[in-house]
Amino acid sequence: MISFVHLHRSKLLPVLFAAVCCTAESRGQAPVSDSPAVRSLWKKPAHFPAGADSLRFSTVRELPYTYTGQLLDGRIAGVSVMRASGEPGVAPMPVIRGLSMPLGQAADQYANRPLYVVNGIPLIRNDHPYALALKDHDFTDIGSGIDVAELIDMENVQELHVLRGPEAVAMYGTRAASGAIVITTRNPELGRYHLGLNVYGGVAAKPQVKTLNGYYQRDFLLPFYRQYANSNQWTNFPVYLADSTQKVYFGPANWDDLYYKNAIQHGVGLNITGGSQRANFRFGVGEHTENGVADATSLKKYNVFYDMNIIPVEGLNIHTYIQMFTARRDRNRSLTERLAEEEYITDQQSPLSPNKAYLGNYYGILNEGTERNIANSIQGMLDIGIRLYKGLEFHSQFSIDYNDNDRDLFVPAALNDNNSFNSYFTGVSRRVRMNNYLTWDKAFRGGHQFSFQLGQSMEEDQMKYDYIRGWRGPSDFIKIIQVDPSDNEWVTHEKSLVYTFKDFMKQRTFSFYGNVGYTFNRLNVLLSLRNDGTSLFGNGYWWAFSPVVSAGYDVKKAGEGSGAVRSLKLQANIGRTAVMPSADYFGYGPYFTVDAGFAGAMKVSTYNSMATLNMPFTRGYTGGGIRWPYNDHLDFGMQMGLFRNWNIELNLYTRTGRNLLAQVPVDAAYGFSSKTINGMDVNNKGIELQLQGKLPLTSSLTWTTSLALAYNTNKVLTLPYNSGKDLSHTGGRTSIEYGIRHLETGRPMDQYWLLQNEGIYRTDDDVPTVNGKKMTYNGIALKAGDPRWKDVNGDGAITDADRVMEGRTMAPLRGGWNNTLQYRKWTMDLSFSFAAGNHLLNGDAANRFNFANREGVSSLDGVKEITFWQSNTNLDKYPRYNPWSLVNPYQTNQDLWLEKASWLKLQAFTLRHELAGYGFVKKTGLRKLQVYATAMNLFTLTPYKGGDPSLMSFTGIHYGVTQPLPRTFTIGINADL
Amino acid sequence: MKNYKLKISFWMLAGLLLTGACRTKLDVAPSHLVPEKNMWTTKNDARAAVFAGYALLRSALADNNAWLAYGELRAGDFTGVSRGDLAAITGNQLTASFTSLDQWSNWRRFYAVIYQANLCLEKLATVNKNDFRYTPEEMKVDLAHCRFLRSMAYFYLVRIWGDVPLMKMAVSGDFVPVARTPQAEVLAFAEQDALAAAEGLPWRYDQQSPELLSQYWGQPAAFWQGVVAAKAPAYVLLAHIAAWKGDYLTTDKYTRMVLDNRVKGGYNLVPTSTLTSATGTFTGQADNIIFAMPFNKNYQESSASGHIEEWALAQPFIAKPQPDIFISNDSILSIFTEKNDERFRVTESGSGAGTYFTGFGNPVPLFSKIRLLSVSGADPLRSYQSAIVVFRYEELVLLRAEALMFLGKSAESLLQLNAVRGQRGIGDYTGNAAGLSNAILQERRRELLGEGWRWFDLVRFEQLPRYSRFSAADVAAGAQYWPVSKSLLGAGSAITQNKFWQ
Repeated sequence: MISFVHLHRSKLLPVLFAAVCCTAESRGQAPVSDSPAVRSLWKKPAHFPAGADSLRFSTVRELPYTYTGQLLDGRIAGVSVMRASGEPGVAPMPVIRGLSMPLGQAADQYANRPLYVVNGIPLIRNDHPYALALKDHDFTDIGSGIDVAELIDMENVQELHVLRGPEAVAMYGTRAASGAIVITTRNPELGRYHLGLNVYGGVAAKPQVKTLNGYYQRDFLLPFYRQYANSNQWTNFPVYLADSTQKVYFGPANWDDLYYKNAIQHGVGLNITGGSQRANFRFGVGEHTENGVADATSLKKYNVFYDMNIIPVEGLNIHTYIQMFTARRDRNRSLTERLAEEEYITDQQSPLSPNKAYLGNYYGILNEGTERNIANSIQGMLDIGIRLYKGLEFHSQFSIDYNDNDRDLFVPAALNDNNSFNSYFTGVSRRVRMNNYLTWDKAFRGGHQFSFQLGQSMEEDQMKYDYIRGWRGPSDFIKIIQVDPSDNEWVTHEKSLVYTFKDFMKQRTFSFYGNVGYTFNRLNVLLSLRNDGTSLFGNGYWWAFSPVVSAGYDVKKAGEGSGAVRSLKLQANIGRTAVMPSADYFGYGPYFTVDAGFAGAMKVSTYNSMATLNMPFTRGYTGGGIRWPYNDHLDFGMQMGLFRNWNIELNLYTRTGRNLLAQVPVDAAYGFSSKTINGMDVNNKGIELQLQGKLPLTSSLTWTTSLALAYNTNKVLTLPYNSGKDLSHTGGRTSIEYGIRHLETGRPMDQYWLLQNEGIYRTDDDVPTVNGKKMTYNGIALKAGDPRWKDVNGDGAITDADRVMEGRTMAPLRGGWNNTLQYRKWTMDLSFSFAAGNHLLNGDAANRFNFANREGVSSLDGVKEITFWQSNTNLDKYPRYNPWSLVNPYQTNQDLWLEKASWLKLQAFTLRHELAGYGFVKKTGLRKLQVYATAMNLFTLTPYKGGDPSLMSFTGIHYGVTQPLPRTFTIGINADL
Repeated sequence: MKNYKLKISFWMLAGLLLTGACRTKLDVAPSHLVPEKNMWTTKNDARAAVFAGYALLRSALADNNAWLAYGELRAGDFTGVSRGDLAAITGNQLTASFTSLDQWSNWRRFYAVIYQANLCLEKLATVNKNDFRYTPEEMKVDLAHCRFLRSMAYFYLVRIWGDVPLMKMAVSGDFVPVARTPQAEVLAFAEQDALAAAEGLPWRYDQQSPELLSQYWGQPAAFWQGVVAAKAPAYVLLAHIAAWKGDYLTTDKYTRMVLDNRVKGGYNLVPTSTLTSATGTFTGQADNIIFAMPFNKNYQESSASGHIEEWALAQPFIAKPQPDIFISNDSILSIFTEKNDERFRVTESGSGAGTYFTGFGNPVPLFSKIRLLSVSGADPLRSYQSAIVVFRYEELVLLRAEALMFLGKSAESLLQLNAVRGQRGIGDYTGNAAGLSNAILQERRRELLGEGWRWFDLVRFEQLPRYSRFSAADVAAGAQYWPVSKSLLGAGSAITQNKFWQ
């Protein structure tokens, strides 16, 4: 529930003037000149709601979370969290109020990410889609993969607000089109110096897995060979499974001893705060280490922050905030990721051994190589607030956000056909931001109150990367690349085997914004107008105007009258907000670039050494006239207080994305694979419910419970008409292929497009004959051993026309249930989160059955991770088709693999005991001494039996190779001196 | 008082900040793309655009080894080892459900070449106007290159798919779906292009030809030999277009023109050792190369894919236990039937000798004719730099033999055939005139094995029913062509599937 009118704003007035003018809620409060709310006002430079979309930190501070997404999951209605893996270095991605754009390829995730704002600084990302364009395979980040915006320092956060509707853009600009997560750090405390300490340590338990070895695989494959293979196919029976006396594959399947381990987690946070009204500060250092239970992964973060406020002259406030951290990631040793990075596929006929004696050799060689993944980040802000006249204030904020993202990789020769591989990546992002605004609060007689804000901000972003890779170094001891370009002499590598890439992007954004708030009696209205211009668009299309109107009406205020309903407030938001695109390929019209590569050599840029520039045939054509896409919002909300201790908030929203940029296919006779145009419309609508209540069970036992529930449904309204008609909303295609997805108007964007599987044809005669011809699949006649697919349109041929849209990748119903039980000095928190109505495709099973096209092939399809030797799904329930059939019987996109993926998790359990009242503690002078124990990810209930359904990539296909979320137990102490 | 001044100064500062910010523009020039308005302004833009056309043609042929899929694998000389998609091609099941088959059925990459060529043809004049250093002479040669590229692209398109859309101009933005044009019309258009190219290109880039008296982009003749279009490749293309249509009179004319002027172009037959050596024909620059698309490692253009070595080589050459394609022992023996063939022969002891194969007699012998690895030494990286040889001198001689044979001039045809046979050690053809056609076909098969010609030869010689699973009726229905990819047949498309593949 979002309310624009603001309360914090009017708290400022009493502070500055000791004048009497309050809004309804602050009436009765004595003006306080040093209230924490005031001092933190500069951190939230615009109007700010204190509604239920914020997180109560008291219940979560002890959880050893690394990422904001972990914190939001199940605690705030309307936020779904997508996480591809439980590995510590892989960040979750919060999605607010459903998908803003369909996820057809990895780069589309950028359009769905919310904006992170820390103390008013919108954070710049350290990864960028232009670096993804460099690789043949886009499923991993080219850099360290550490998402610096997602990292959160639990110790330092005071408040966290999630802005879900149009107010996100009204306050923080068009980058917040998919919502904003606003983090406010803790304020300095006045008075004598206080020391705060938080230490925790714990262990994550390794999962129990069922391992397999060659016997299993051989027994799995043999029935297929016996039933269907011809002599040629028998000769291609996997060589590694041929000899069962070999211990390599037929020995004990104890690889999990090397792969999974119990992992230590620990963290320390130390801060010191103090000062007077005129000058106060807060300084802290911290460390947070999360070790993964699988594959020797970890994420270590070290951070420092400094928050200082000075009032040198009455009416002049200077605030500074600096935060620095460095994160190091030990990355997974996944073969697919490594080979995709190298872009060199070694021979895959002998997979990794399930026997730890042999696997140990492989890891030993890998350890002789190097892998360093580092992300560094610095944010600094200076805010100057000047009280000019009565009610008139001027703020000027200057901030710098700098990130860098480094990855060094050295793969020893023994793993690469005796050719070592070396690569370096350095990416740097920097945002310099200047935000100036004027606020004026004025109260008129009769109880009319106005507050105005007028502001301007300018941002300049620069992003660049350098990437160099080379093969065939002189030895495994030399892990650097040194080439002497002046002559043909090589220093370490042969010149022809070293490839270098670099790119640079600069973007400027200007914003002019103004708000007018009006409060009268029970009514408050806010009008926000914003004009944003960015250099991403071509000349003439720079500016986008975003108006938002918010109105609230207090039907019944707390304290008025009596009855079950304690208070009732109704609210509505309407707005149109612009959406900033994530890359600069669209705004410059038709362009020329390097795009003349081919499979396996996508970045070849020359012909016989002559540099080439051509139109982006593979990337897609962009015409002139690309405009800002925008969202239309309509929110209705109700905040109701029931009885004494219950609060209900209900939000109904609809968000329509209009004119979204989509890549539509183009007739191949023009040479382009696609074309980017405006014209896609999608709609998200839903209900968010947040229910909170406090039940005093006995005199000393209280139970506080909170339920956050969100139901979201989305729909593609219009697809762009790609034959020249500009921005047509009336005509257009009813379906397009959008990356890996198939989109149809009138249907959700995250559905699967599947053939319906109805069994198997046992004999050739079982295949039906239609119009005198046997049924075919894409022109190939179906035979015995082929799947029985449903011929939806009855034309005697199974084609794409017989595919139906089924299932949902994103769960329509998502939420959490959080409980706190308090008994005297003991507190216990219990958090559940759940998702219902979503599905996934069991890609692990599909890949195992599709061995005929995957076994031993020299491409990423043929790669078997070590988790191949782990049993995930029960494979007995699937029919036995002829795997060599040309109709691809085990293809992933059929409903044979579609499974329900709803889940319920016990996310966190915390037990806290406050020791401050005890005698011995009083002697030490500690203000607060708390010990706590937490347990995370205790259990998951789900009908899906192939792993954790909440860990899935954007494709919606679950491969079972991702690291699980382990059960983690920690204990800690929180002390305040 | 002090406070007041402070306030004023802050007001001014604020004002300054606000105005200063506005002066900076939102017009930021991008650094990783060249917007259209900045293109076609300097001489280097012309160079970049023309060579992009070459790079795009190379990519169209090299993408997943497409040129081998189109020209070599369908003919059945090669057998797949374990890969399902390669087995599907050798068995001519071209609609089987494989991603690679879908990509090979998609003609988009060839049309990228055509679009780029069309664009250059329109815009090179702009460069000439904008940059005085780009002389009209150079512009004429570049225009001829573009016409050659367009002609080559259409030549491939027609041979692979039959009737294809005819795009004569670069279109901006409004991509209206285009229907197929009958191949006769497309070939006529390609012929015009090739004629114009032949007229505008020099024999050699040695500053002797009247078409280009200055150095081409500042590089000597040896730099350009064989890797960009010249007069000879244009004539050979014309000869082939005519042969595809069955017009052997024209083929005769153009092949003779090239043979008569071979000294001007610097072409010659080469011995077998040069053909298969690491510094020979398949570098893309040798005496017998008329036109090839190179992948020179020194220019960082070598790659793991786009070469026959990716499929045909295995141990002991690279760290791969088995190749993806091979020619079975029986096939080898049926292809190389002549004695003393330097390419392959069976010695008295029964083992194989010659430069084409390694490991004859093993269950999976290796086709090692083309073996240009990017690195030398032990444990080579799986990266290759063999060129895609489009036209070479021996092929031209055999084409002339074919043309003369079809025109009934057996004696002259025999002369040409024996020239190539002599180079390979098998001596003159001793059969009768009736068997000449087959002899030429067989010689082409041997000489051009692994170079992407076989399927098209079978079409020209009308021998498909004999060497593939198609009957004459199938061929009449269009079995010789490839099906069109599913993605081209979507809603709103004006393309229909080839009749045979429906």
